[in-house]
Amino acid sequence: MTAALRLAVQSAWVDFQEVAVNGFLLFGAVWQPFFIGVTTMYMLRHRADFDPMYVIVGTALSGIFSTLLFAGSGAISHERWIGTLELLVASPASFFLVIGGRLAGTTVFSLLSLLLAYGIAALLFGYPIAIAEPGWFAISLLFAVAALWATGMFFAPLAILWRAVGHFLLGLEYPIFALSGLLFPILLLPGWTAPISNILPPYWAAVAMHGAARGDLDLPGLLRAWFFLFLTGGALLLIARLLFERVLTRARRAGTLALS
Amino acid sequence: MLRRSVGAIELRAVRRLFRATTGTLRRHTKEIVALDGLSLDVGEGELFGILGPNGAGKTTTIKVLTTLLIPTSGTATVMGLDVVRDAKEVRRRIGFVFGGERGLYYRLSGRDNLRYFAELYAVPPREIRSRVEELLDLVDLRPRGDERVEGYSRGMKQRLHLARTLLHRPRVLFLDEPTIGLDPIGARELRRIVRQLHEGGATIVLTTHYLFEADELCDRIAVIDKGRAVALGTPADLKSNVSDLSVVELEVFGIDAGTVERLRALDFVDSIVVEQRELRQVLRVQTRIAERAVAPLIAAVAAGQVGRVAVREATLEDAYVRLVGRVE
Amino acid sequence: MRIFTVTAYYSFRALFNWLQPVPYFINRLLFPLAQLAFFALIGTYGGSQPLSFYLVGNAIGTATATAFGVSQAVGNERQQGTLAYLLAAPAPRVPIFFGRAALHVADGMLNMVAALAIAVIAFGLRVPVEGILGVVSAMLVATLAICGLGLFLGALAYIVLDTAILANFAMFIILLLSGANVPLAELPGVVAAIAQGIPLTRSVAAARLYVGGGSFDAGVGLLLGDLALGAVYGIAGFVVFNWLETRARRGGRLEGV
Repeated sequence: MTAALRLAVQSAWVDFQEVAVNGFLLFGAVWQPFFIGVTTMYMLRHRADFDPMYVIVGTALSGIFSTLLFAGSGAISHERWIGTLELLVASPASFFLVIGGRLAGTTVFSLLSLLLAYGIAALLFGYPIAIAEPGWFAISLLFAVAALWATGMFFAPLAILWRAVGHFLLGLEYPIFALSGLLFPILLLPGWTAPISNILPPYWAAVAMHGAARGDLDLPGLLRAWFFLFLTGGALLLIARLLFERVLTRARRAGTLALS
Repeated sequence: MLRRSVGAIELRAVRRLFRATTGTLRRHTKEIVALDGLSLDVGEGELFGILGPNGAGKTTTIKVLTTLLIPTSGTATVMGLDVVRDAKEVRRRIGFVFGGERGLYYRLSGRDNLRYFAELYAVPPREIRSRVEELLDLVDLRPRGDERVEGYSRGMKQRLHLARTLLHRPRVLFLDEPTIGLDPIGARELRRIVRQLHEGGATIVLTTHYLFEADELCDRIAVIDKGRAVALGTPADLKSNVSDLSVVELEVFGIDAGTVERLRALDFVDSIVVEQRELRQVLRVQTRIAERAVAPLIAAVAAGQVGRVAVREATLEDAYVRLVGRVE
Repeated sequence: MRIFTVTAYYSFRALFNWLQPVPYFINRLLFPLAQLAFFALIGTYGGSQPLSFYLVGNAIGTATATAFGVSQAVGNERQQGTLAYLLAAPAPRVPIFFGRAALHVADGMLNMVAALAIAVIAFGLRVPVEGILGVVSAMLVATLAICGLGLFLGALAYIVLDTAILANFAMFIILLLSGANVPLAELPGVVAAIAQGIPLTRSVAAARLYVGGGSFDAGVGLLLGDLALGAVYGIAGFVVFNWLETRARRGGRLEGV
């Protein structure tokens, strides 16, 4: 068990070093949230009940999700591109664990969005920031991040199994932002989209974090949100596990583990 | 003959097909037969060479044995374990090096790369540090172990790959063209290390393009072409196949294809290989009649076009040419 | 003229060699529309402006997507290694350069028409009949202006960064500063001044004017302004491109530049 943990941590560290200079990921974790954050701040600040934490949470989640969407869907093909895929597959280590570690590294990196969102609100706009329930917020953040990591793991094999999916996975950003109620309540969306929202980890992440930040969600409500975070995240992780196996077996049959 | 215990590696009638699709609108699917019923045995502790022209199936064979490719049909076992069913167990016991620059984490140092792969291969944490140092020493990379791999030369990367593959002390090693692209000194270094490993008792399967390398290192060699084994034996065995042959080497200037064909048609000529060297060509004529072939050969070539002439015994390379009909 | 057409055709085809109809449809139509819906809904939630403000702003804002295609068409020459051959060819530069943008204009217009359709059908935006000409003109001007910017970005990509990152940057800056989502009056002085120097600012204002029932003449000044700005960017791109070429010929490094 500890060996697995060590491997995961090491993989995360490898990833972190690669990612820190990756322009694209920097974009998803920093620049895009910057623009979304600033724009949204302007747009929402005239509300009577405006709370800067709302924008911070929504912006941060958008950044974390975008980063994991991008990194996740490219995780396996990245290894293939640099030639390490074969080495990883042919090693006795669990490939699932290795990529899991990789994405964990990226997840930590993506927390920059949170820092950035806070910076925008507190420094650029000069708002006083207050979290109603800091303890619940911290826990919600932890669970949210874990669930989004699981979502990233889900994208990794998906992008490989269906090439066409890879193309428009990246276009999923805005639809998911909208359906997850990151920066506006999903009540504004047509009713038939509600079931879709309910199966998205980012939606429950937003519910929990918005709720804890503003203090307008009671404990049962929070517990419910956490429960669904686990459920949706866990389901995606399970599916990811199965898909990983499929991807590898298919690659070994078709001979596509290497580029040539 | 080497006394072999239970085969360390066995291939039985392995076939491997690839599908290639071309075209965007109207797609054609071609089936490429990479391995066509290949059967081989490698004994424990052997240094086994696999020779063959490009596209013969050497790399495919290695990839099947290292669990990276699933055979279309047939079975392959490594140390008694099936490469498909028991893939994970096989992976624990083998190491492999594919030629080339890729397969390392460029932003990490050599040392960190090794440490990471040590984790992948479940080397006990207590041992990792000492093992990494030991291997860096072996491949002579210790002084530069903390530099990022992106700054390594090709030879250094190759040596690092070799160190990587030895981290978990595998009993079976697969080396796919390990000296390709290396300068002569680097290549010699690598061969020295391979020999050392062999002496340590490891089973090594080596594929190479370089016939002299196979001759120098290997206990036994298999020559494969078009996915099949066309010869199998010790280097001496293979050379004995051509013991009746001599090779007349003719240096000629500006010979044309027609003349070469005429020479081929001569009844004492077994085969001719033409090697281009800048402005001249060297014809290697395999013949059974040795020196007596020289005069008629020169006569057949237009006068004044022949430079140096030499007659020598057939080498492994000539045996190879005879088997696969060409040199690449 | 022929070079223009031929270049345009091949540029477009090259882009689609790796794209099939379905992903195209999804990528270039559905998702810009998701972006429109996203910001429109935030705007609704924020309530500081009427819905139409955000609908028009973001509908015109979908023009920014064209910047990707154009900048890539220009910037990609380097990646595909064809730059050297292109520069060595005797064909005149201008038609080639602008030919690149041509089919993207059509593509961009299609984008915006779809966006406007969504705004009308799904969100109930009302466009007065007298304003239709104006709105269509605004869309055309917006697309052309973005194409000019795209050419500039494509040329810039040889020196700095990457076409995709540059185009993304541009898209966000425009969405933020052009008044698509945030009224210019709310932006700090310096920033608002910058807003005048980027494409779409005037087209968005014009489009809002027309949707609000203004006469065509009232908005013409704005449209011409944006058109001129786009032309400036386009010419700047052309200049940069030529400069790079001269520099490369002197310096001897062409591919990477």
